[in-house]
Amino acid sequence: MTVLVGYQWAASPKEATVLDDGTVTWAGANRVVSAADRVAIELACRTAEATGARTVGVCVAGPQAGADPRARSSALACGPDEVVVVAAGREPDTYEVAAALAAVIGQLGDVDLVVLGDCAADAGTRMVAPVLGGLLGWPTLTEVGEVAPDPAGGFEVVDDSRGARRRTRVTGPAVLGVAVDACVPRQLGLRQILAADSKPSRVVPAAELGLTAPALEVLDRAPVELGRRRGHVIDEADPARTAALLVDELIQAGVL
Amino acid sequence: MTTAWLVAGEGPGVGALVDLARSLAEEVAAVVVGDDADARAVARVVDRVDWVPCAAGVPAECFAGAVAEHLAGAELVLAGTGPASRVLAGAVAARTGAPVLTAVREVVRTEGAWQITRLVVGGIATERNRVPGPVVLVTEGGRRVGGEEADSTAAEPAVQRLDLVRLPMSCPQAPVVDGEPHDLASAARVVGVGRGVRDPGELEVVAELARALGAEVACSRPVAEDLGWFPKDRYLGVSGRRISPRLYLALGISGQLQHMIGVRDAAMIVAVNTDRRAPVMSEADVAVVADVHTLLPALLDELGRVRGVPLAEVAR
Repeated sequence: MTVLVGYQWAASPKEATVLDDGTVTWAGANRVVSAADRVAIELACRTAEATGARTVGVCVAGPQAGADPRARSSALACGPDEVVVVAAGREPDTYEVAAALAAVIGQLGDVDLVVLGDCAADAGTRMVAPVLGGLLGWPTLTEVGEVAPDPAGGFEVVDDSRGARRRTRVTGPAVLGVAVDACVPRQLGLRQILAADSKPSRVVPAAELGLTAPALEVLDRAPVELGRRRGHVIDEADPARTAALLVDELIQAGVL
Repeated sequence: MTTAWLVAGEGPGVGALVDLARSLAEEVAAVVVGDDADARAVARVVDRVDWVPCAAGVPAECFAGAVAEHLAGAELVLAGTGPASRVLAGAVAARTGAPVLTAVREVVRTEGAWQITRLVVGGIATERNRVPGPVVLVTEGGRRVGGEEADSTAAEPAVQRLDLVRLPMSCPQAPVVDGEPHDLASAARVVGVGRGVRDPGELEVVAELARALGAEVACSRPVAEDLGWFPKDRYLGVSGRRISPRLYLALGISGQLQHMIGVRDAAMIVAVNTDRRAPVMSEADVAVVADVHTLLPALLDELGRVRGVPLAEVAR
């Protein structure tokens, strides 16, 4: 049995700059395995350890990830037994990531569980797990906080469904999107970093997977405009005076 | 004739989706995975509903594959951002081979293709896409429908029951609700809690203020995910809930772009922060330079004074 965990090798959008013409520049940005993906890796490794399975990390990313060995070693240090990087010619979109993961799962053959992070460091669509579940035809849950092997077979999963904590029994293989607070990733030390060097990893060009992309054309990009606000400042030392001025503003605006 | 299909996995909170669908298609249909009341509520505001009954103990996600098969020929599918709706929408995208786009700002039909403007790169940029084939859009569902906005004189809406194949999942116990129910999507006023509210003991005062204002309480992403003070369905931002109240009162929120994207449609934004240079202050209609800890009691007193009733009455 294999537990597959997807991860991104990406920089935080906070490190990007959008120029006036819409060009997004990442100069000096630091690509990492994000905190959300480290949580997913940890949950995958714990589940694999509990079932005697192996953990395979899979990163689907643009050409930088294929060329940078840190895209593999950084993830391996977090715990997986093996890592596969699928290197696309450009940054893949949600569907393309899901399709590439599905192709790797087909090649591996013995995957029973797929764990994906909340993708906090990428475009943040939070749709990779749902699309992947659809491509595989497997039960899919998101916002997952806990997962444990079910003695009767399959898994018992605890997730958050719009403010309700739900315990679900899943029979057979499944895709789980993991909440960012599901667990605390293990501390990385020199031992983990050195151990990563001895673990197997490989880079697979996306072209070798025979993927087809949905019809989607990018017309242009632009910086986000938040719009102009009135910008009236209340800066008084006395809280009572501040409150009086603020309530007056609310009354004048008709929002009380 | 173009039909826009809504996919509802979390009840009738699909008002914004219906509005968007009406602007794009001659016919609006819906697949509702839920109970009978959900299906009838949605049916009052769309042209037809295919209802997938979902009994207690059965997660709506069970029907992802079957719903996808049902919508295999759909050209335009809209779904909300709740967990079940996302899983259903993802399955539809997989079945139809459609791109799935989130954080949608605008959609138009032009020259035989969908032209979609959406937020990308964590919400710091917008991108315009042209999609000549089917497309799945996942965006904030909006207000609950089927209540007062429905035409009470209209004929009983048509609801077609579908009994679909389930994926192997079950919930042996009833879900445990975390916190009080809320309706951020329909709220006229929302109070947002940020890390500037340093002590969780102050949340009761925030709740008092919210009651006094008739507001719902929401928060920034770190307050939900790092501090765990609120359920995750209450954080606002590009990857969380997006709201459009008449008043958004941000308490101790720095105002990172990812948060402000979620509240930009508020008619009025008031920010309270000790740091005059915090990003939220430049995005507010009224920027209050103050400590939340000292301002809240004074604000409650003032609200009670202007309304001429005791504080306890205001907060009730």
